Formats: sequence, C-alpha cells, structure tokens
Amino acid sequence: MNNKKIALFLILSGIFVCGIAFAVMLGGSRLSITDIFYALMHPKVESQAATIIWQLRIPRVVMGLLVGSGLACCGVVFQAVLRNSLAEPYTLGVANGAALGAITAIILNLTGICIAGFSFLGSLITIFLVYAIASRKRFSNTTLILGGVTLGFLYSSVILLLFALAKKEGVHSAILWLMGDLSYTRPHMIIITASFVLSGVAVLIFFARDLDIICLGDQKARHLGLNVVFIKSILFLVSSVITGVCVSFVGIIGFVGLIIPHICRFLFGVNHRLLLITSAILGAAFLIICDTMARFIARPLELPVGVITGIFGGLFFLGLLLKSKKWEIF
Amino acid sequence: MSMLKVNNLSCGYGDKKIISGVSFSVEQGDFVGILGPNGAGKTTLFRAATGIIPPWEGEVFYKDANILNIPRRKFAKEVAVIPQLVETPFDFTVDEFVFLGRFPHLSRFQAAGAVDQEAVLKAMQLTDTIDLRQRKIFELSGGERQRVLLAQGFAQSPRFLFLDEPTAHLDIAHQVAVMDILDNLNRKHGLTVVIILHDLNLASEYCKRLILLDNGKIFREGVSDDILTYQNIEKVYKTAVVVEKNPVSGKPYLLLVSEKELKKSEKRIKNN
Amino acid sequence: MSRKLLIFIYFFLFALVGNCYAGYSRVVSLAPSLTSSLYDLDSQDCIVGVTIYCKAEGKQIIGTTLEPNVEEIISLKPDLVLAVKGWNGPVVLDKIKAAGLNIISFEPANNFEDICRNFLLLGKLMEKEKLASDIVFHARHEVDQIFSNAKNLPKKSIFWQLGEKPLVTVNDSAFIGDLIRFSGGTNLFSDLKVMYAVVSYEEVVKRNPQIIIIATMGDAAISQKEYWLGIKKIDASKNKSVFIIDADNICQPTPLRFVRGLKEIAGLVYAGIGAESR
Repeated sequence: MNNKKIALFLILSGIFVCGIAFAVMLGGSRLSITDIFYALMHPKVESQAATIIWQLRIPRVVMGLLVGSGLACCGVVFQAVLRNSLAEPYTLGVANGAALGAITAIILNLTGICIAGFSFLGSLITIFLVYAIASRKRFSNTTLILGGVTLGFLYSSVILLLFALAKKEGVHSAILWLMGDLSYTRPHMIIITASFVLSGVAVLIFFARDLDIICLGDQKARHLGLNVVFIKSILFLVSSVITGVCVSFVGIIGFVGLIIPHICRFLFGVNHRLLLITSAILGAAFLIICDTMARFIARPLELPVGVITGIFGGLFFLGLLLKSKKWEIF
Repeated sequence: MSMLKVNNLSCGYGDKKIISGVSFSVEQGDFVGILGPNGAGKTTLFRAATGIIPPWEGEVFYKDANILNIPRRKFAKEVAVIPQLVETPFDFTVDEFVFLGRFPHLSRFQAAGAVDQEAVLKAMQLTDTIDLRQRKIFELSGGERQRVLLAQGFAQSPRFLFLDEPTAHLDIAHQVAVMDILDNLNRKHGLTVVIILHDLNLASEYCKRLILLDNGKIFREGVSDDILTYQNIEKVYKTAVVVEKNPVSGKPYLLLVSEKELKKSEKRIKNN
Repeated sequence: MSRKLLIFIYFFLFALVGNCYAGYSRVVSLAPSLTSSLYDLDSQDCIVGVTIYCKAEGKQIIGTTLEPNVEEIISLKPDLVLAVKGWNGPVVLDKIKAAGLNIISFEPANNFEDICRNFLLLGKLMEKEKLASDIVFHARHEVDQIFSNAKNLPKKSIFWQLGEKPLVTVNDSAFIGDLIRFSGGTNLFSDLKVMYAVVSYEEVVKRNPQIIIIATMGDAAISQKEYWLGIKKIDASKNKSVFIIDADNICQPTPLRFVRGLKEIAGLVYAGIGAESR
C-alpha cells in the first residue's frame, strides 16, 4: 500500500470510530453527555440512561455494524462475480425471498422470531432454487442473473397478492418491515448475525485473490488456473447466506451493498483483499450513521433506516459522480 | 514426448459439430501457426486444446497427460493462454493487471515474493509496457491493451503459449514488435508457441510450421513454402491470390487480387 | 305497562315481517365496524354482503376491505352499499358509484362523539332511529359514569402499542385517544403530530409509562410483553402493568364496542372501576 492509501485508511478508521461515537451519543431520545458517559462507565448502575444505552442503543449499534459490513462485503463479491458494478446483494432474488417469508409471517400475526425464521427460510429456498438453476449451466453469469431476477419478480408478485388480501394493519406492518428496521434488536439476534457475518466475511476474505481473477471473466480465470464453477458456487452460497441472515433480522436496507464497494474501489483500488476489508469498515460506519439519523431527525418519530440509506446515500453518490472527473462506471 | 498432442479431436457446440478428426502434435520449441478462413474451426480448436470445451471424440494430451485430468492450477503454471481481449468491469492499474498473471504460482495467502516481482518486471520489459505501470487499463489504447495482455501472459512464466490473434488491433509497427517478442522468446528461451493468425504473411514470416484448417478438418500442415501456395489458398479461402517470394526473407508472400484486376487479367489471357 | 306492550307489539311485528320492514333490505357492508353496527341495530337480516373480516354468519363474502370485488357486489343487487372513507380506498368507492349503486360513505370516527354520530346516522338509514338513539344514550351514560369515576383519581400515563416491529403508536386524534382519556389515562405520545407513527423504544423508556397496552394479536403480543417486562427501568414493568388486549373487539368504532373497550381498559388502569381486568 502506498502512502496515499495508508492515509485514506487512517481516515476511514477515523470515520468508523466517529460513527460509533455518533451512534451512541445521539438517538431517539435526548440524553445529556454526562449521563451517557456515566452509563458507559458504570453499566451495572441502574438508571434510565443506562437502560437506554445498554439495552437499546448499543445492541442496535452492534447490529448495524454487523449488517453494514456484511452487506458491503456481499456487494463487493456480487459485483466481482457478476462482473457488473451495478450488481448488489439483492440482485439474485435472495432479499425478495426473505421478504416473502417475512410478510407471510407478519400477515399471520406471528412473533418477531417467527418473522425472522420464515424470512430466513424464504431466503434459503431462493438460494437453493438459484443454485439449482445455475449449476445446470456451470454457473454462467447470464443464468445466475436471469434466474435470480426472474425469481425476484415472481416473489414480488406474490407479495403484492398478499397485500391485496391482507388487513390494513398487516399491510402497513409489512411495508414498514420492507423499509428496514434495526429497532428490534435482541441479544440472540446479535449472536446469530455475528456468527454468520463474521465467519462469512472471513471466508470471503480468504478467497480474495480468486475474486481478483474472477473479474477477468470465466474463460481467462480458468486459463489462470481457477476452478471457476467451484469458486463461484462457494462465493454465491456464502454471500447469499450472509445477505439472507441480515435481511431476515432487519428487513431490506438498500444501497449499502451497491455503493460502498464503488466508493472503496475508487479510493483503494481493485485489490479485493483490501477492498473487502475497507468495504466492511465503511459499510458498518455508513449504516450506523444512517440509523442514527433515522432515529434522530424526526424524534420521537423513527424513520425507516432503508429510506435514509437510499436518500442520503443516493444524494451523496450523485454528488460524487458529478464532481469527480475520474469517475467511471461501467 | 511432444509438448502438445491432439489426437483425432472432434467437438462443437450444442448439436453442431465444428471440427472433426483433427490430429497434430507440437514439439518443444515449436512455433506453430493455425490458419483458416472464418468458421473453419480455429477458435473451437483453440478452446478444446486449452480445456475450455470438452472434446466429443478424441483427446488432447499435454506432455502425455490428458489435459482434462491435469489440475487447472498445475496446467496454468506452464501453459499461458492469451485471448484476443479480456473485458473486465473494473479499472485495474497495469501493474495490478499484469500481476494477476502470477496467480497460478501463488497460494492464497502467499504474499508476492522476489520471484514474482521479477517475473512481472521482465514481462513488462519484454512488452515495452514499463512506462504504463501506473496507468489504468481503461485509459489505454487498443494496442497498449494488447501488449499489457501479453505481459500478463508472460508474467505467468509459461513454457507453452497459446495466442488467439494477438495482433488483431495493432498497427503494423506493433504487429511486427509483438511477433518479434514471440520469435525472440521462442528462439532464445525455448518457449513453445501456438498462435492463431489471420494475417497469412505474418504467419509465413514467423511460424516454423503452419496448420491450415478448412471446414473443421486439417487441410494441410507443414512449412510455409508447402502451405502457402496459391492453389491451397484459393481452394481454402476461395479467393484469388498471387504468391511471391518476400525479397528480404525468402518466405512466401501473398498478394491479394481484387475482382477488378482479376477480370482485367482474364481479358488479357483471352485476347492473347 | 301499555308502553311496554306497545314496544312488544312493535318488535313482534318486526320479527314477523322481518327486520327489513321498511327502507333498505339489501345492504352490502364494506367495513367490519359497519357490520357490527348493523347487528347491534338488529338489522342483520338486511345484510346481503360483507367483507372477509366482518364478523357475520351465513353472509356472502365480497372480498377484503381494501379490495372488495365490485362485480360480486353488483351481482348481489344491493340497494345500499355502506363504506368508511379511509378504510376503503377512494378508487374502489368511485368504481361502485360508477356502477350506479347507491353508496354511502361514512367519515372515519376519530372520537367517541363521531362514533355516536355515525351510529345514529346508520340508525336513520336503516329506519331504526329509536333503537339507535337508545343504544347511544346508554353508551353515553356508561362512558360518563366511568369518566367521572376516573376523573378524581390520579392520571396514569399509558403507552398504546399497535405494532411490534417496528413500534407503532397513536396520538390523541384517533378514537383510541378517547378510550385512553375516558379511562383516566394520558397518552404517552399525545404530542405526536401524526395519527399513527413509528416511535423509538428509547423514547418510551425515557417517557416512562405507567401502563403499557399492547393492542396487537397473536404470539407477537406475548413476546412483546415479555420484552417490556425485561426492561426493568420503566414503571409499567415494575408494577407489572403490561397488558394485552383483543384489538379486534376493542378497536372497532361502534358505541357498544367502545363501551366494552372502555370498561376493560379502565379496569386495567384502576382495578375496581368497570368490569374484569386481565
């Protein structure tokens, strides 16, 4: 890494730390700085601030860090494997499957755990179907994309059907779920998400060199000695499962998987080991900053975090696009 | 033991058989050119010989081992395949791009060592791409990109090189430059080269042996004097040519004949 | 005595001739609250079509509140279609009107007075004005009684939870606001500018409600209750005042159900007033 990249990495780490501080200090309710610090130093002392910080804010921030880094890394992988910088974790229909599962559970009035369970089941079914279709054609990109996108459309139609049949409250809840929500974080959710995201991202980083090679295309990758079908199937499975777990717990938070890889590639280059690590860090910081804004802007109302990532992320990216001379999107 | 042995190879796509009964072998140090009109099966042969598509009949052997049984990575350590172009969605720097050629030699967590740095450096020296090191590949011209592709192939430190029309987008200076590099590596370092070429004169000038394909079969194989005769060319390419001797190298040299000129000369013959 | 006899003969004739003695005899209801009101007005025999969510037996189902089947409605040849603005989408209502059917849309009820007014209007339509005004009179009486009892006791702050994920609550401008107010409570989020809103858990903890009422259904409500009881800092958990209520029965804007709901909630708020507490 040259000096410029080292400097950028330090700035990135700074943003990460600031993001965490920001997320802990601001939120849906106003707490004074002294109260916050006291609660952080003395977690065992019972006070309102301690309850809010330790039982509500910190679990939410941890979840946001995990989901943000998971989605960003999956975005990197999908963009490399599909060789398309407009690809993202939701391209292959996994999120739609999860949404269908969750909405079915919401309309049936099931508990939060069941919603997550149904949702994960929905994503697994999609992963299985796309895998089955793609493996017949040696995981060619065309088959992957067409299979995933078609399934996605099918699911969306069924979801709309459910909306037509459901009660008003059910539809309202379902739509709010779709917009993404970190508010419901329970400890077991963090444990499950952490195990999947941390181990999954570790696997992806393990295959970082293979990701570099896959960018060159299936044929050239084969010529360089890569077992393309095997690598693609592993990468697809691992990143789809990470995506499925994240969506099952927090709904569909868009934009993170699409834009963070772009920004990191622009700043740090195409080397996928560095790209995965920096995307994980930036994705985590981005999501918790957006979530803090979602809690803070209209308090005591809470805005859906997916809306903030979409609007804020979108405007930011448009600005970058217009200002930068070197920016190229293919 | 031949480096490459193609044995009665037939294959195609879907229901269509493209090549049938193709057999030839390539020895160490050979410089073989594969020629033929469009649709003759050159690319299909290329893909089968490099393990991209499976043979329907027959086998391809690399150093007496069936290439389907050789682990991909092991194969890639010795055999480099340079296609016409490589499209990537991301803007690598030339340095990073050429370095990818070292992939077969590095295990997942191995950092780049001195051997690798040297191989990359040498590859870029050979292809005259050192000055392009820090440039991004999207910024390069067609010719520069082709040279960078070559550099990537050379960085693999191969013993055997397959190339598919590496001069297609180059001006005459760079065409000659690239062929000179290959010629150099072949004669001085024993690199075995199998190259698909459209330009028959380039093939004549540089290749030690030529294989002429027609309709999926080998029409003729041999040295350029034997292959590049006007009868062979007119039969296979179905176009009129005149064959002369290159005044500098003595190798056969093909001159194209336009329809206008053909008609004129036919008239002359009639009048005489 | 003679007055009671008259009333008896009145109802007897009704029973003989059927409840749809005069006025509309083929009514389609597009909202559960209207259907229950029709039952309360003893006009259930006039109903020919209901939505799938209405509690009605042996009636033709014409779809959901959001998506009623217009053709099905037309085929029933109703002489009156009843709808609630906001519950049924305007597009559907336009379609029904365009089909030439007689449709009456009620304004949604945002407080107890609205509920009563709508009920009286319905009574007038079904020619059951007397019955309607009797019911409303009794309902008002009960509500006043409960409210006057509750007025003298210290107010308790109530957090009314409508959704689990995310956390949805109401402000005072919905009729739930009246339910809370008459039972002697104050709405924790009465300052909200919108009727239904997603709020943060943090703010609930900060505002420290004394009572939490969960108005969702199913297992979701049970796990939500456990969650609140696990946050020990709020008064509602300390006093174990986290309650689940049957939203379908309570949250329908009809006078009888309002009273039933009010009794239940008042009972939760102050043990002793009203009927059973859970």
